[in-house]
Amino acid sequence: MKKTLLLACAALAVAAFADQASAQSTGSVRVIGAVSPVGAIRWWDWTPTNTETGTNTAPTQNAPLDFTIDLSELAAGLNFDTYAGGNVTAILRSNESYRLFGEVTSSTGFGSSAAGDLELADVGFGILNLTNSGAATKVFGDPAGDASLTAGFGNDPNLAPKDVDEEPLWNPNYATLQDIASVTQVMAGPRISNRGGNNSPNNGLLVDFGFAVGPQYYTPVANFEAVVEFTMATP
Amino acid sequence: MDFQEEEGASRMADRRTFEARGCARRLFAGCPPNRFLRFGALLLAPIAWFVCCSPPAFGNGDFDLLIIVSDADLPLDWQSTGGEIEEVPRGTSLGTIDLSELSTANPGTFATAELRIAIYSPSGFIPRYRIRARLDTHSPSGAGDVELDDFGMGVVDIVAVSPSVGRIWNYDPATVGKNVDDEPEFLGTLDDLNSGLGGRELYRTRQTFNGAWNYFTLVLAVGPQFYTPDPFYPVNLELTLQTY
Repeated sequence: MKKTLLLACAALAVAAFADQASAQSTGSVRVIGAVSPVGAIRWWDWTPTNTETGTNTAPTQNAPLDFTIDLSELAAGLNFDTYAGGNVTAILRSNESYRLFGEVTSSTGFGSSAAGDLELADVGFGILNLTNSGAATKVFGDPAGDASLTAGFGNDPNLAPKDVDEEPLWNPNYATLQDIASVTQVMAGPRISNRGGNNSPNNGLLVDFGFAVGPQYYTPVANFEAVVEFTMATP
Repeated sequence: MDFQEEEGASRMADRRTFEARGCARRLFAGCPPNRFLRFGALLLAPIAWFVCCSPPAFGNGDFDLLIIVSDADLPLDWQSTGGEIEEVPRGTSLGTIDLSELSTANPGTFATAELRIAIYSPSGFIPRYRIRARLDTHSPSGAGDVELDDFGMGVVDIVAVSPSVGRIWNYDPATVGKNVDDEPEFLGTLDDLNSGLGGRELYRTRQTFNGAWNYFTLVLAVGPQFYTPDPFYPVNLELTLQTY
C-alpha cells in the first residue's frame, strides 16, 4: 500500500512539473475610435396639395434630400385651386441636440410686387406634422414633442387665410421664402436618434416642409425657380 | 532569441523524455505482488507515461506574440521566415486598432480594422497551443453610447496546423448583415469577452507545428450609428498564448 501511495505521489509530482513547463505569452491590443456629433436630413415622402408633381433625385426613402416640386400654373385665371403647393416629408436624425436652418440659396423668375411679379414673399413656407418615426423604438425621448419651431414657421401655409383680394395673409402666423432669404434658424430640438443608422425607420423625426402659393394675376413668367437649402447643426 | 537558447531548449526536451521512460520502468519494477496494489500501479502507469512522454514543452519566454506591421510587409509565402518579419518589435504591446469614426459621419457600412499577429517560436517548432482573449479595461456605457457588443470581433486567415476556431469567432465581422435599424448582426463581440475571469478562447491548434511562425488576423468592426458622441474610451484587449 505504501508503495502504491509513493507511486501515486511520484506520478502527481511529474504531472505538476509538466504543467509548470507549459509556456504562456501575453500581449495587449488597444482599440480606439471616435464618435462625432452628427445629424442627417433625408428624403422620406411627398404629399401634393392638389395635383402638383414632385420627385426626389434618388426616389427612395432615406436618400439624400434633393427634391423638386413643380407647382405648375400659378395664374389665377388658369389655376382655380386655393393654393398650389405640397408637403415634402423629410426625416431628421441626430446624436446630439440640433438646430435646423433654412436658406434660399438661389432664385430666378421672381420679381417685385410693385411690378406685379411673383416674389419670394408669395411662397408660403412652414414646418409641420412632427412625428417620431416608425415604432419610435430608436428615438431619444420624445424628439417630436420636444422640438421648438421658430415663430411663424410652425403652421401649414396651405391653410393660411386670404384677404379680400385673395392674397394670402401670411403675417404674422405664416412664414414665406422671403423670411429665409438668408440663413435663418427655423427649428431646434434635443437629440433625436438613440443609435441605429441612416436606414433605420425607427430612429428619426419626420417633418413636413410645406410650401404654398395662392394663384393670382401675376406678371407672366415662363419659368421660376427657388432652391431652399436646409442645414442641421449641432450646437 | 539567439541560437544558443534554441539548443538549450532542445536538450532539455531530450532529457525529459529520457527521465519519463526511467520513471515508467521503475513503476513496473516496483509492482507489489498484491493483486489490488498491482491493479493500482497498472492504472497509474499509463497516466505517468502520457504526462512524461507528451510533446516537449518550453519554459516561459520561449514564445512571443508579435505584431506584423502591415500585410504589405509580409513575405509572399507566409510560412517562410522572411527577413522583414525578424525586424518587427516583439513585446507585450501588440499595437493599436484605430477604428476611427463610428458615428454615421462615417459613410462606410463598417468601421473596421484588422491586426495581423504572429506567433514565434525560436526553437523552430510550435507545440499545440490555444489563444485566449479577455478585456482588461473597459468603461460602463450610458444610454445611446457605443457598447462592447457593438464591436464585432473575429479571427481569420490562421496559418497553423489544424486550427480549431471558437464558433463565435470564426467569421469576418465586417461582412455580416444588418437588421432593419442598421444594427450589425455580429456573432462574437467584445462583450463576449466580458464574462469569465480568464476570458474566452479564440482558437487552438491540435498538433505540433514544424516551423517557427504561426499567424492569425484579428478583425474588429463597428457599424456606424447615431451613438452618443461622448469621448470614446479605449478598450484594452489582452491576448494570451498558452501551450497545453
